[in-house]
Amino acid sequence: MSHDYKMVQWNPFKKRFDVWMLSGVALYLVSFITLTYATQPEGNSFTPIQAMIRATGTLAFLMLNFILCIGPLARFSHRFRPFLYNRRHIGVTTFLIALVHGGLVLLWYHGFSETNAFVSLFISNPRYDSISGFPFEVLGFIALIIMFLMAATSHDFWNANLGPGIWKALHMSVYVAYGLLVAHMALGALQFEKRPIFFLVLGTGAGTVILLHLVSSIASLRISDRIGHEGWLRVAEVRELEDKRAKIIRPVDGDAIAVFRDGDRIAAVSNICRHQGGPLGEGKVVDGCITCPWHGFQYRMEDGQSPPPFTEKIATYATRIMNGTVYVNPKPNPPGTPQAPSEVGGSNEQG
Amino acid sequence: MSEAAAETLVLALGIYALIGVLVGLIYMFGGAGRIDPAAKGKGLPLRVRLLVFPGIAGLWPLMLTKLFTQKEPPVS
Repeated sequence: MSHDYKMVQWNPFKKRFDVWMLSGVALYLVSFITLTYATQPEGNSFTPIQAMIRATGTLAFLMLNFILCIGPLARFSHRFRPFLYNRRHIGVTTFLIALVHGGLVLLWYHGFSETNAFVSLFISNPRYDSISGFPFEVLGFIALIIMFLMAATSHDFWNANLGPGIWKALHMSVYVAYGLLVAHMALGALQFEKRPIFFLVLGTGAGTVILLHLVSSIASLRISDRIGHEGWLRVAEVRELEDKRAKIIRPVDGDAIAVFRDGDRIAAVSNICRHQGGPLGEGKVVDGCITCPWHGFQYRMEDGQSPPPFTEKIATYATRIMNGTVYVNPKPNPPGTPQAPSEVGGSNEQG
Repeated sequence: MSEAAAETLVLALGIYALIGVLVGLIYMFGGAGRIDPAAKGKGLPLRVRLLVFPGIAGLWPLMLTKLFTQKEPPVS
């Protein structure tokens, strides 16, 4: 929405979330370092910096796993939506933890030689032609640069000035960073750590991310039961639509459609928010307006326009109710086109 | 990777970052308002300018291109 830029769009809920998140980060670091000392193999003696390197590395990896799981989890259960609303804060915090990890590695393993620390990072392990011995530090360095670009462009200014397309493409590179970090851990810590915690972190994390994305993709592709009448797509029985919430329909061609119910009114709009491409269908209806789960951008149900003085518009779709079943016309109206919502039990209900 | 190649790479990254800092400063002191009317003057407070500075420094080739070629204001 057009407005003055604010540093952080905090509200009481986001503040509480951040306090809980930072408390969790502190608890993890303290617990990890305590356990490291309690369980270190005989003859080993980790320095506090080495323990911190491991603690921040595993924490950043776990947090990135969680970030990647939030989207699919929020599609399955509303209970995960608070995390979806605060994913940007989790992402920036993850980058800062990864930055501490990288900084400590640079200081501890490369900072005491006469060679420039960054040069040392690239040449300390010269086995670039090996698979198992590949210099994993370089993979982590590239992943950190990607995470930096994502964290640095997470402010609203960037969406407005890069455009939603470039912004989203840039932030989809999180999957590249994640792949690099999996390789970074597999070729790094797992090669010389014998304690099971590192295998557990990597295996459980990567397995969960892959499984959730697969299940979520398969669920969203189930379109055979959507074929309705005269090209209209079946959405659901009226009673299946939760009040103030949406069901997301994905036509074979075209963008995903969010079909919202607000009391007796049912309306359909594009699932893509004009702000940062957020999934509107995972949001809810607040004060009669569809509200994006990511940053709270709002659109009126009846015409897909942001309430004045804002000017954003999204595509609307025609809906109808036949025999207690809701259908949507997959052909979008131009953004901001008025489209009367269907009324449950109203005159436009058929059958 | 040879030491010479690594030194060249690190030097290139350093130059990239240095130019990024310069372009970031240009944006902080007026450039942002030139491509985005909402970012003019008090529309982009100092602490927000500081917040977007690293991104401008990191993406400076793109932002420099925008500064000289963008004619239309951004969508929102």
